[in-house]
Amino acid sequence: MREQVIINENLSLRRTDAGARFVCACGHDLADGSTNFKEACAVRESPTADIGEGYASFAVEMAAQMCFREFFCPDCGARLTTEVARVGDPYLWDTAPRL
Amino acid sequence: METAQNVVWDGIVRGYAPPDVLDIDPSLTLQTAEAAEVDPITYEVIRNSLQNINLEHGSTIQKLSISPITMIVRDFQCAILTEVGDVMFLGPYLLYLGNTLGLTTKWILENRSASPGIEDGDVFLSTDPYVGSSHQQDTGLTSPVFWGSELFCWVSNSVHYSDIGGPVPGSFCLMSQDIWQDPPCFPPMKLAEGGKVRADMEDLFLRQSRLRDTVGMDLHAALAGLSVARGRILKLIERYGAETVKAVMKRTLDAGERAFQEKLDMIPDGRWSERVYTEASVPGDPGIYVSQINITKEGDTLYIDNEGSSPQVGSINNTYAGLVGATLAPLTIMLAYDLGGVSGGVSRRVKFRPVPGTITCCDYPGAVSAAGVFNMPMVVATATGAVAKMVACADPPLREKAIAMADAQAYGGWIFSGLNQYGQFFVGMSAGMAAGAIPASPGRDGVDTGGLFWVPGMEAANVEENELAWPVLTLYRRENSAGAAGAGMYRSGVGAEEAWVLHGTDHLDSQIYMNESFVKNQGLLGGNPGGRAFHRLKQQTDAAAQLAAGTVPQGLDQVSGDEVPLFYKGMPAVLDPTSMWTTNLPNFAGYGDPLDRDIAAIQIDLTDGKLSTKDALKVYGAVVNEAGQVDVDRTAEQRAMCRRERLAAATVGVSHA
Repeated sequence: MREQVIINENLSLRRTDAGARFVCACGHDLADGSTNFKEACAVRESPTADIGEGYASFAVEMAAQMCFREFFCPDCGARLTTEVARVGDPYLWDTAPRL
Repeated sequence: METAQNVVWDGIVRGYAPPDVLDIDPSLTLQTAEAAEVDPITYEVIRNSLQNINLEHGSTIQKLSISPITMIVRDFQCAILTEVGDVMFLGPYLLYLGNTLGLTTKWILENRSASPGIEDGDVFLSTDPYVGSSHQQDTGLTSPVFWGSELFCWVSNSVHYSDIGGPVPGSFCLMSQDIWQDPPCFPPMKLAEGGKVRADMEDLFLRQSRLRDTVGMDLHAALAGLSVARGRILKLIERYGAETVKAVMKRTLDAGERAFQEKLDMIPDGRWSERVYTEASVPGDPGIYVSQINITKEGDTLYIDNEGSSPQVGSINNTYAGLVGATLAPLTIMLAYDLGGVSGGVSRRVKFRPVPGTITCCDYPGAVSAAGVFNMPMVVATATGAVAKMVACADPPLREKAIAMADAQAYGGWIFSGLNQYGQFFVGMSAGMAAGAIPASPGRDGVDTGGLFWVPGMEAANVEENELAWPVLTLYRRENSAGAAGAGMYRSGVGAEEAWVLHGTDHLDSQIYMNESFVKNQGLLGGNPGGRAFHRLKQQTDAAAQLAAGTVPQGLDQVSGDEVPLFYKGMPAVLDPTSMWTTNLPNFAGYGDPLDRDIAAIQIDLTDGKLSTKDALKVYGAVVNEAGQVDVDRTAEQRAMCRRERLAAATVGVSHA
């Protein structure tokens, strides 16, 4: 039986008295393990062209439909995950390990 | 939308998904008997011999083919398959083609064993993506190997042929709305009988092509590969006996399955997904579409579905064979890296539950010819993201085998046609991806221009080889910087850029160029996404005058002229003697929070000139002093401030469910 699943250096799924919980390395209890942890994050959404040099294109209207999302621990500001998405699309529930 | 339970996956209406037990005509006898015991030394000798036979099959194709895409880039695959079409050994070539060979072979067993029959010396040719290929250009040849009157095994290959007909040179038909606007689609037919090539069938295939001679030479290279492999296998059987060789084949597959299961044991159960966006179902279409792959792990089995993918549309579709091949490629790299190409055991533990009628698993008559440079890389990338997130959750050391996403849609780089410097019509395919970039992994940086991981044997052509084959002059080929693109706690390897002018001709048409409207390459678990693949063109430049004066322009911004706005899947771009153009293979995806990147790693990139002081600060929060050294204390302060700024700019508690 697993006690935890390390997802990356800042995020893990841990067995607790309250069940499986997503927890940040800073100790912040982020979310229930059966949910999309992104919903509990602090989220910054910005144009993809703002990521850095070379991301901008001639297709400004099409690029304007897309965004870059950064999901942070709301306590320490660690970036837990990112996604490029169409503006308004739901956060992708992409990481759902079970203990 | 229909589900997998109520559709017929027959290779005609929908992609072919073979049943667990094939329906083979009883007139065909399979060799299934195997020796009860094989001593360990004999086992290893035979196993390695089979692996080397397959490698020799591949090297034969590579040596005898004449198109650069096969000879140098190695856009092909070869395999040895069991008597029922399970892939035993794959070559180190285009991985997603591996399983398509198994699908085609199984379809032949079910649909050709009664008529026209399967006999010794036959070679079947297929261009049908609904039977088992990624697109028509990846034409498959598969040949039964008989021992006596029994079918012992199969040898098979799939080669990308430079032009197999259809409306446009190169056969990538971006305007297609259905398969009838694509190049011809031939279900498996007998190209050879009794060891002799049928002239009528060879002509039927070659007659479609604008490049009959080139495609004909490559076709015979593929036939030679089959012949070499078949001959070597028969000699192995002569020496050790059919039942002993068969026992080794079966036990090798069983061992591969066990090794794969051992890795699955290190991964928790759960579900992982990836989503990649693409644009333009046909040129001019402003729409945006979704490719999604989901992996559910339950015990010792992986279940793959594509729920969330957009309905099939225009020319941006993949068949079931494409979906399977694209998913097994990253699984092979991350979870079967130690099996030496034995992929059949892996396939036993991977079950597909596809949603048909989607761009990731389309129904007939969806157009698919463009998939090779657009949708196959996209689905490979999508699957890579899902597999990488799953493997990152594994116990150490397996989690370090996760690899972030490589290219999403830039494979192929640039396809062009016209008259070459020898006055002959040609179609060129510059594999801009061949230089590659290995993306980041948990625990390590990627590899700069380290190749494309899902085509392990791929090589970039030398500049001189390109200039010999095509009427172009390369101005430069150089690595990108390690800036924002692919940044992370561990960064992606960097890609490369190349620039050209015409040489020896006064006109070429660019059929395909990769100028993405937006970045598609998703970062892994906190990493930055990869860069945007771009292709830039200037007309009326002074590049020729600069060359005449002894200066080689080192950037599009260093020449005069007018930049032509190029759009993703734009119309063919005309190149003339005043043109200068560049294509950029971007860095791929990074892993983890860039603010967690080790100071020493940043210092190395600064010292090597791969990272600017400006990007060190902006991307990594690293403060560099006047001596070019990262200031540790000020960097810690800067990073703390960056984290506070993140939260100040972020929104909490806004649901997008």
